[in-house]
Amino acid sequence: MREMTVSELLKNGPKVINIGVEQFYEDLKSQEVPVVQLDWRPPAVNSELLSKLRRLRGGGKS
Amino acid sequence: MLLQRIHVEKGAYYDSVTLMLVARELQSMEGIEEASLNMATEANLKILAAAGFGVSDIQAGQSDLLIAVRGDGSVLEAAIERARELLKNPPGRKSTPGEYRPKSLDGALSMLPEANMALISIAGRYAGDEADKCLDAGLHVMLYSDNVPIEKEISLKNKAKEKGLLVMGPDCGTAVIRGVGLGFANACPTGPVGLVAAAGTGLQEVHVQLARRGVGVLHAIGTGGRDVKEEVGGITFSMGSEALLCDEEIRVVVLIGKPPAPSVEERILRILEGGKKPAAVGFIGGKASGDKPPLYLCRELEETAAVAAALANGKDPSSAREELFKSYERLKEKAAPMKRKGFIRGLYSGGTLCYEAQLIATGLIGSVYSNAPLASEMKLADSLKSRGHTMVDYGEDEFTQGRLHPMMDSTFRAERLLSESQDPDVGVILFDCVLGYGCHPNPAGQMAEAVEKARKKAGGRIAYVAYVCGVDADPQGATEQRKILEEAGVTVCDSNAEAARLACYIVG
Amino acid sequence: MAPLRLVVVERHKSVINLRSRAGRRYSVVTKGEDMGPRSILSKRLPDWNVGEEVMVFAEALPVCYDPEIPKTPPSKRWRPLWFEWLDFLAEPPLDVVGKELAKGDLSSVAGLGPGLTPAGDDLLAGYMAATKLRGETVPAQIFPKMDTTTWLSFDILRDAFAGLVWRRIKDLCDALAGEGVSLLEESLTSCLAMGHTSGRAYLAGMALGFEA
Repeated sequence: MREMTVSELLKNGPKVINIGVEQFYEDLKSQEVPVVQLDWRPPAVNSELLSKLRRLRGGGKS
Repeated sequence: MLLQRIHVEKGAYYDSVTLMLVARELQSMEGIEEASLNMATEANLKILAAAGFGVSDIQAGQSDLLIAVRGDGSVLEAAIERARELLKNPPGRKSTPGEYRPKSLDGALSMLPEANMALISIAGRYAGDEADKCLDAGLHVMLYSDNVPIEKEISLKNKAKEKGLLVMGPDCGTAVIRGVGLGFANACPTGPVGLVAAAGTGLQEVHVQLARRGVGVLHAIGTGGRDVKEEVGGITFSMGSEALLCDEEIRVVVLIGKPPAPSVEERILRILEGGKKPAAVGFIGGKASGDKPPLYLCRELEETAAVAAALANGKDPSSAREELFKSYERLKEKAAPMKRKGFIRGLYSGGTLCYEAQLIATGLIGSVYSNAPLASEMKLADSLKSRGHTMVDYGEDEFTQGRLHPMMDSTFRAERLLSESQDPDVGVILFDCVLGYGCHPNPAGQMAEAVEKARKKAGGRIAYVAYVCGVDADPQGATEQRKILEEAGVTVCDSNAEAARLACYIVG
Repeated sequence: MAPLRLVVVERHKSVINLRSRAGRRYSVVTKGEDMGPRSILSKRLPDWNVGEEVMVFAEALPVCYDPEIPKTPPSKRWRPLWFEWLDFLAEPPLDVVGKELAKGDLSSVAGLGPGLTPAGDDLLAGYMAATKLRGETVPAQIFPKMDTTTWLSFDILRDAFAGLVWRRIKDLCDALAGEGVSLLEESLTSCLAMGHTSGRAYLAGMALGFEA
């Protein structure tokens, strides 16, 4: 488990997961901040199929 | 004859800003009357139906994209094609098209294991749950999204507090951490000042006003406007203040926001009183004022910045404040040759700037109508129809549903400037241009174009007064933006408070 | 060495696919990242037309990369990333493959779905590559019959079964074995650019193979 405190954030500066507006990702990149853009989508897209597929993880498949 | 078409793009999700930017591109096409791109949620289908689009036979769900166009029959097909093309490489995106993007938080963390915060700007109904997941993963959260229920805010902040994590927001538009601007933020220098602010343009204005005085800011922690409500209890305000008081690099602490609930105000002030650092407290329009070291109580944004700058420079804060208010007095001389008859109409993109302007004007020339008024009896029945002195906040939800925030696009506000200029009862039109990351590349250009058009019709009958909230290092460049406005005949002031006063003196 | 006699089967913008008498695919490509087993990297595509029989000297096949799948398993660090790849199969047009897969039989996806190489085959090829990468043997029963798919696709599966992969996949295998984010990002981006859906189906197959 990661140990994060507010003072750690202020001392080391932000390293960001951006979830949403792409512009913010671009702005952070232009400030040379480590940033990853998450390709977020609304939940419940084809949820039944998705959960079936996710069950295939962790083996049981040949 | 005008024709219409709705194209369904299955399983295509884009953020709302991207969709609106693409829609704006389509609207500029020859022969296109109207264009919109929306995810096919029930609410959006209703909006399309209200706009006259036939939606009854649309087969689409909330994960599908609708491209709706109306115009010349011969260009509809081309417009839809153009939209699909633009979505592949959206306007404003500089990164490689098709770049690999992780789809889950765990995936993102495997790519950036040292990540320490999440910036969340998805639709409010999903944002709270995502924030929850991020806290579970041990990340600080900045919640740019609005429309997150207050119960969710409370539970998020309590959870975060237990883990020692910060939740900035919801509805936190701006933050600065170690000089890095997050969301809408100005490229100001870093320095010995640390801010905690409700959010938005109040924070930006103090940030910029400090920069004007040569004082830098290392951190500016946003809290969201509801943090200081009784129910939330100022959790982020308290955590932020404590962190800044402990931070060895911070010499002066500044708080900015609307006046908190009394119990919350007491809690926050007690934290500051216990600290060993001077603190400028700008609760805008608050009742408390005066200096009780280490606390310096202020009521306006520029005043807060002037006091904080004096504290940072080891000068006397009281005389800095006095000097500032003396300089405001001198605006009367500046206004003398500009005298006009009539009402003030203020058109704002920044919520706190609009609020502060109302406060100042109410003190000088009497009550001001608004869609976001100081007192409920001054609320406009119709936000699009001004009466008496009026100041409109274009960042309010009613204007941003399905539209870009006015800081990203001033088209709608510029149209209002034109129509207000035709009102014979108007003497001054007052507006802001907010610069920085995330903002429109040329807000002054958008407004100046409208001013020039309006002057052709209204001549010199109306005075135009503006404030450019930004610095030269901002992507738009403050000096450049000022020049664009001044060349259009706009009087540009050095602060929001100054612009509001000048407008009052012109008609007062 | 005797020259190879090959027939031009397809001509694309930057790739020509040829077939040998034994039914194997050979290619001429103009971009390094399009290299596969038995391919020639050339500055320009030769002036060959579809249906034409051409002669290629075996010595002309330069070795630009080693198409053999390395036997270094992927770093566990990337597990959350490959977990996501199965999600590709929940969205159209790959959901046809996803639905079949969810029924439970891996080999039944052969020949399924859209694409020049059917997405189901891409998935199988990815599965095989991942299995090899883990240093294990690919079970023979998942190898489809020739008549269930296209010749090109069948050829890719034959290669994958033998442990040979395309340049992009090789790069991805190397990146997955390492710890570098930018290398991985680059190779994933390159894999996703394969065909319309090929890359995504291939990655989903790899995820299944890693988790088998």
